[in-house]
Amino acid sequence: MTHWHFIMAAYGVTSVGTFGLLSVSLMSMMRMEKAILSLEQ
Amino acid sequence: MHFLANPTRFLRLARPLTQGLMTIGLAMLIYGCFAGLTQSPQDYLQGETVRIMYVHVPTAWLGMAGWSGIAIASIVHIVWRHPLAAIAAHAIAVPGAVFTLLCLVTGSIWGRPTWGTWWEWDGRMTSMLVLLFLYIGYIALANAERSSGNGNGKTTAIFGIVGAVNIPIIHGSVIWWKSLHQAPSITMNGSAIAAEILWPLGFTMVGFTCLFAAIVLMRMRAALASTKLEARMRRRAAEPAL
Repeated sequence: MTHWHFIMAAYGVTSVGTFGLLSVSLMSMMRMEKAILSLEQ
Repeated sequence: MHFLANPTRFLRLARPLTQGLMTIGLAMLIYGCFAGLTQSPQDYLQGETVRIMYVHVPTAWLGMAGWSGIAIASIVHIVWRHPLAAIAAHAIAVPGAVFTLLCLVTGSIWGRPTWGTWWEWDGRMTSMLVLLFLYIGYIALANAERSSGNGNGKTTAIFGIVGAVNIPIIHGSVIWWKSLHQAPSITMNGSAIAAEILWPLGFTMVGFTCLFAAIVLMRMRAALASTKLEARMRRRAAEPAL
């Protein structure tokens, strides 16, 4: 394995973790705020 | 600080802040990673693998900063009974655990070509693993306290404060004990890393930190909305049927 395989693995794992967490948090926030809005209406 | 004790006032500030932090964070992170992969030179000793630093160092910083945030919010919760402090501490826990795990994984990937091993039970790596276990314990304790319904969050807050003892241990581990991990490269006296290798790290550090803050704000907003929703549902259920 070349060094670039390790570099790509590290960047890949970090991207999946960061963007996965960002998407889950964003969707959860939007779902909850939407539920509040629909209840108020 | 007490200005933000009112959730309505907090939300008025948090809404534009979440979007701003996410935009700045994504832009800085994408540019920092691009520059780290293509614009900076390789290290004379480590070669190309030095590029892992641009994602490993920010994740380590956020793992440690996350727990420091939990400890500060826990003190505020216990001393001043600030209503948002416990929500903030709980909102930090999951992102903190994820970034600590990412630090351990990227460190392991970096260690294989550099040290010839995926893992070594030395001070820095072991104390970082302890930090991950502390996060897992904190999340489990917070969930248990919330689901039991009779806790005021004090036990979780005390755990958050006591767990902070691990932060100086992580920092000192490479100074106090013999370690495969290098000693701190960036100190108050300057940096041991050449400027042409160092500069993309500034972008990824700021980028990851802004994204972390945006994620914490999103989780706080979700928690506040969930509490509000529960209260409304309870009130509606208690209303007499017409």
